[in-house]
Amino acid sequence: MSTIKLLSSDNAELAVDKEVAERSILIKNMLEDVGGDMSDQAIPIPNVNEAVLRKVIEWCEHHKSDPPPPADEDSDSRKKSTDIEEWDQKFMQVDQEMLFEIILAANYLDIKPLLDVGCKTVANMIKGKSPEEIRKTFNIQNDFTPEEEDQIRRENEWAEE
Amino acid sequence: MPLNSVSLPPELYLLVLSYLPEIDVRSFSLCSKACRDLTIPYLFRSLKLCEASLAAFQAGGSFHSLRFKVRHVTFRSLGFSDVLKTISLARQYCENLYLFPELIGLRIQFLAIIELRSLLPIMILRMISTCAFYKNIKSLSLECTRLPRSDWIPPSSDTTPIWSRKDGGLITQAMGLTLEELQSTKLSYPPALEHAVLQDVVYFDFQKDSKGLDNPYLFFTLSSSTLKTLKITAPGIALHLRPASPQRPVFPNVEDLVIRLETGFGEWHLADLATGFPNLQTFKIDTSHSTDITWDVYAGEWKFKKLKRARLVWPVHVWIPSYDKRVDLENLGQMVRNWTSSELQEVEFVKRKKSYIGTVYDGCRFERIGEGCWEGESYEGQSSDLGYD
Repeated sequence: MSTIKLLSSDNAELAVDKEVAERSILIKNMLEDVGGDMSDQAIPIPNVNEAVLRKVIEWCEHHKSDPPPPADEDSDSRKKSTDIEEWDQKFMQVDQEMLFEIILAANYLDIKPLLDVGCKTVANMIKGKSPEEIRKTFNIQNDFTPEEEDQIRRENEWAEE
Repeated sequence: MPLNSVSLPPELYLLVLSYLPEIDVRSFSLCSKACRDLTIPYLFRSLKLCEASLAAFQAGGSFHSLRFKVRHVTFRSLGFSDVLKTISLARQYCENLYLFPELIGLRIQFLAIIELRSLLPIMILRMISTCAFYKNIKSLSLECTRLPRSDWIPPSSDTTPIWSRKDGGLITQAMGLTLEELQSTKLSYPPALEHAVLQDVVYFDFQKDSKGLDNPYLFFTLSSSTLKTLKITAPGIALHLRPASPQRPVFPNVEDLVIRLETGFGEWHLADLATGFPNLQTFKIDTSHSTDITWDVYAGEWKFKKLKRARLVWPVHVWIPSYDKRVDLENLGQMVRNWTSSELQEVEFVKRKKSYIGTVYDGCRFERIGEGCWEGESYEGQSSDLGYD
């Protein structure tokens, strides 16, 4: 099996199976563009540091034989489920900074299923919480006056369930 | 974003929000100004129109620039016993729908006396049909809750249609339409309509039948080629589903059909329905009066080719005295086994029953467990929502 090398933003070189790396559509397209053989040259991934890149590769490793994700659904379609499979749940048990870094990396590397798992994890951190609890979870500063907050509550009533 | 040291770009927050029910999006929007800015376009994709929200979206209002984000609008036109108020509210909201050029869904709920069930939808359709978004409308809900005749229109033995009576003039006036305009209105639904909910709105076409009121012409006027789901509450459908009816429409793409019948009416057959809806996959029917459905309705050839699930009314057979079978699990099961569609997986017969806790249901459920093999069980007193509402 052919192996390729990835170069993280902090200059760490990581060897990865080509098949695993190709979970990233960005890398896949890149390899196709250069005609496949990248065995002696490392592909620079300038937006992702080593720790995050290792996490992302770990995920790709575990999901290397997943079927390709279905085509984009209509954004107006019903609410998507926030169910996450067990392995992914464990995988996402990281600190918030790492969670956001993984999401950003998945977005940059174009790994849609990982991006979805990351966003679902964040969604589950919001689900069922009061505004105050959400602020605490994400360390958000409340910059509303009580009057503004009242106004927003009223406006929110205009949104149809 | 004021979140931690690492932050996500707005489009990724939108992806996160897409996994959340509205209630959580609302909570998130209350966290900070930045959160609010993120959620606004998302929250108001579905908008409830009321006096305050309309003002906010009108020119000069604080939400005016967001009007392009609105895809679905709901409004309630509730004048209660004041018929003219109901009309003027509906008219005011319809006149302002042009504000939302990206609209694809419209849901209108109103309270009305019997005559308005038809006139108000005519006015509404007439008004919105001139809007640019009309051709893009995919879902339309017209939901009428019927009011008893108010004192405003005294009961009368006068059988002239209300719009040609003296007091009826006030109605047409409130609608901003003349009687001639109303009569010449050619009813049409949005051409790309896929999902329709028509609750107790009886359409009639002046040109087809001037007596109109109790003749449900809704099938004639729905666009038949694009419709995928249809949910109707109506006094009767039977007449127009009879094979003899020359104008009986065909809905080749409807996969889900829910019918709730209000009052008793004559005979019809399931087989007739299959002619009008040849590709149904799920079908639910409910009726306020169980006597509406006789055993006979379900008898005859099974014509549904693709039907997977059916929820039917428990039949009575009082109108066919020669039929000596009792309606029970065994005999219903026998009937279901005779229904020859390989797609059919689940059939339920439901009997509505009033009880001190409200409406409850008795019934039985059949499930296909193998080729030609069905399993059935009966139940009593279930109060669960059967999905008719």
